[in-house]
Amino acid sequence: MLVTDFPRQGFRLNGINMFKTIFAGIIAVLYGLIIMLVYRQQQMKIENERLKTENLQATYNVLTAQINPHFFFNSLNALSALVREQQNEVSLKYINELSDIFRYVLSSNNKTLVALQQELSFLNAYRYMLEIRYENKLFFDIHIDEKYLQYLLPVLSFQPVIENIIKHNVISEENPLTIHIYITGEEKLAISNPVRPKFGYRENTGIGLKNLTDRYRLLLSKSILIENDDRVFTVKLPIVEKSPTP
Amino acid sequence: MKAVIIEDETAAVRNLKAILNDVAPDLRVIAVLDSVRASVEWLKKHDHPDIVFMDIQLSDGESFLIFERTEIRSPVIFTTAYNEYALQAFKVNSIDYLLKPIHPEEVVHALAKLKFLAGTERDDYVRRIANLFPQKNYLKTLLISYKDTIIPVDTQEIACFYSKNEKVYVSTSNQIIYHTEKSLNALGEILDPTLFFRANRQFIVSRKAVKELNVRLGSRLCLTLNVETEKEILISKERVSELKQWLTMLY
Repeated sequence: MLVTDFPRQGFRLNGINMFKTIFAGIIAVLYGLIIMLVYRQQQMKIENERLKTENLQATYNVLTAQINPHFFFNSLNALSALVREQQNEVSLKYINELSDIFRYVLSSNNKTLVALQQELSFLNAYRYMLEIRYENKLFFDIHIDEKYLQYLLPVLSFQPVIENIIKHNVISEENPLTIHIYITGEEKLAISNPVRPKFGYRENTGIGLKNLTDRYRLLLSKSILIENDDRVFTVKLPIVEKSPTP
Repeated sequence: MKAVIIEDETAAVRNLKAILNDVAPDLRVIAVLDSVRASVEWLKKHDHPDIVFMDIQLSDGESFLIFERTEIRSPVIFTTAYNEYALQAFKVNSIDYLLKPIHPEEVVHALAKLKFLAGTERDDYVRRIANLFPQKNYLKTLLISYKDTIIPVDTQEIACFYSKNEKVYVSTSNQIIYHTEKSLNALGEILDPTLFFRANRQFIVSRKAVKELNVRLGSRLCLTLNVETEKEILISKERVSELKQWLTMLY
């Protein structure tokens, strides 16, 4: 009896063991799933934090790039010329535009999306200064239909694109440069220029554009388009009619 | 006294001119140049002035490139809005510079210093700058050995260099082919990068010889020269934009 009982008991034990094993397995899988979910959520949190930090960094970089010493001192040097030539009216306008630029940049750190109209009035101030600094060499050709003026885009979108153009292209008497700004068929803001590489600059997309890409991803979940067919360099910035609901 | 201003921002030129007009009325600005290219061209053709004012950032690149391409026999006073590296070098070598916005007193000071430099001191000043930015001498004439003869070939006459069976050949614009002992890599080091381009492992081509680019499958390009080549010159997809940039570069 005892002898025959053993296998049966063994079998029963095996059955219980199997059940336990399966149960433990399910528990383990469930735990696993939970851990995975928690992990994923944490990853998302980390990713979100990373994007936030990146945004801060990007905004900060734009700030420092804008008020970079080169821009600052060159702007003042041009102003010296105006004063020395006793062009009082022009000097005053120049000072006003310069103040507007700095005020816009300084207030941009608590803004995210702004109306195209605001960006355009910043662009006009920026353009005024650049056209004095590069008189007879740098021109702007702006065509924006009124119906897009209330469309939104990240604050300080123009600045890095224009700065990138000036940094990488020849702007001389022999080769004046015109920057074209217009709205494309697919409702994108296009900023384009003929490609005239400076000597010694191989890369065509700078840090400024990378920051702008990051800010677009964060604020609009959209990407900017950079097209370069070696003759024309175009940056296309999405603009939106309404602020996206978070 | 004659001066040349090398500066790309229109307003900055006007500012410096107005200051010079005030503080040094006897100084005559005989040329204003806004690019590396224009400066090199001008300096090659004209008598060098008594003084050169030179901005660091020019329209087509940094002004240091001018020194690489030609000799400047005038004392240079640099102007810059902000450039820490350059300033450091100027300070160490006591080379004069003006910070923008430019102060008239600084201009007076710099000019007075140069005026009082005697001949040898002046030469020394010019040499210090030249040493800071050594001139790059690219190959002008390639010497080809053929039996007991050495033939000088002007690089301007060369359409391309190519390798075949581990030997390097030179093809001139009038279709003469020579053999050279130099490797393509060695040639790449001594040829002017604005005039010659390493198209692929087998070819270095001259800009003047480029006739057309033909698009091939997979975004590759085929380069056609003014002279016949034994093989097609294929440009990989990765190098296409570099090639186009080289071709459109304003030099």
